[in-house]
Amino acid sequence: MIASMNVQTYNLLMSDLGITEKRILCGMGYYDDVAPEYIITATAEFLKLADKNADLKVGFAEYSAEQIQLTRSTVSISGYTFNVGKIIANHLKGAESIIVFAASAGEKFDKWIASQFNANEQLYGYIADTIGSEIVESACDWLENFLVAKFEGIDWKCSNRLSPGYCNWNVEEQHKIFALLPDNFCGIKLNESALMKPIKSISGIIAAGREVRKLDYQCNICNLEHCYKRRKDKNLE
Amino acid sequence: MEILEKLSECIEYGKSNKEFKHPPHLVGSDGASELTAIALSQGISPDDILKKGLMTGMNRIGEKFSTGKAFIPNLLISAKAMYAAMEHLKPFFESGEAKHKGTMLIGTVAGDLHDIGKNIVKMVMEGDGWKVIDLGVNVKTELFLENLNKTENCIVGLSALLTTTMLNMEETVREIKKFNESIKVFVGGAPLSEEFALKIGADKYFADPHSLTKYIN
Repeated sequence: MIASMNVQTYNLLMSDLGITEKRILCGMGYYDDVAPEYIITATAEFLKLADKNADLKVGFAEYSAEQIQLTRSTVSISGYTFNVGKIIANHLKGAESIIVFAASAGEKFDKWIASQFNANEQLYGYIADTIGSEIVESACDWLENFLVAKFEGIDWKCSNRLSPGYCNWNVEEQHKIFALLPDNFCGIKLNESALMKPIKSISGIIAAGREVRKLDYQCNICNLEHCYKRRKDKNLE
Repeated sequence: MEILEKLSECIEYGKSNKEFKHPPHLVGSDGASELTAIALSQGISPDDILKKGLMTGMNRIGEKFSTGKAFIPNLLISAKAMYAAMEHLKPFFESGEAKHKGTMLIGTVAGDLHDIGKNIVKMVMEGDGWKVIDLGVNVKTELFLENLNKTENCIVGLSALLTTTMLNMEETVREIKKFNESIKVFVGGAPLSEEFALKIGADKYFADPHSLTKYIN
């Protein structure tokens, strides 16, 4: 039994997320460069098919000030201590509430991606895989907007979303994230290596509070050279 | 030879066959499959087709990829064209008339299920004339050793995408080196670095497949 009094989950549709073909093409690397017509056409077709294969779920458990303890490099939430490191601890400064969240594109989506690869169509598999990554990121964008709106009324602000595996936060701590969420939350299970199944899933935390500030991701001091967040500030719209 | 130049262009742009309507400037022309068949019928050796056609095309797209002028989808359609050509060369490799540069054992390490990066390395290596034995994902050390026992003179490629599973590489590298210290072990994957590769006893880290082929050639 988890200690949060506020647990919510939402089923989303692709239409709620407004994912554009351009976003998928950017996800495959085509920011400034024009993708070959064949790839643009295949991406458009797969984006339509993705809608039939996605079972998008996003949700969170909210932990209040008395359940949180923050130091310069750790945060304890309801008795679970996370060694988040200084970068992430800085994002959490002023937290009066921490939202532990997860989102998933669902098992059917994983199977759809695998079916493309198994049919020996590496390009189609890769496009489906990229769409999966982008839709689950978009579901988290949706959640961030939802939380901003929720806290706006009491004049609280939200941090960026922060996940184990990024900004020097050990991915193994994902086990503790899921200990703070109900079992099988959004249909996600973890393996021993802290790999989420379905693969197209994200988990993490968001801080909220009067003094919380939304800081930029500090990619210049993180050692994850090939992280997608480095590309995130590029204009996708 | 003009036909091999055309073939390399088909590989570079991913023109698998005549029916495939890509790239725009080659629509309606013969693709990699037809050109390879024609080249063989003209008596061009499988070795020349491989080196001057397929490898040249794969090198060009690999170079574009490593300099940010092409992306994974471009590599994948090039690899598909390369496979279409390789179908015609397969009998010559089987008979021994054409020879691979060597053999690579490749796999994603234990605990990790990510395979896109590993598959891309596999395709690029095959395009570079290597025989690649793909052990799949979540590969335990024992499976690498079992295959090393059956395969002479090979190199090994290990992939991992998680900071947790990259730690499993250390044991695999250690056991491979214990088995035979001269076997070259190369590693790749988003969270890795050259520093990490050397720390765990691997021979080198590569950020992209083209850097690997350049290095081993």
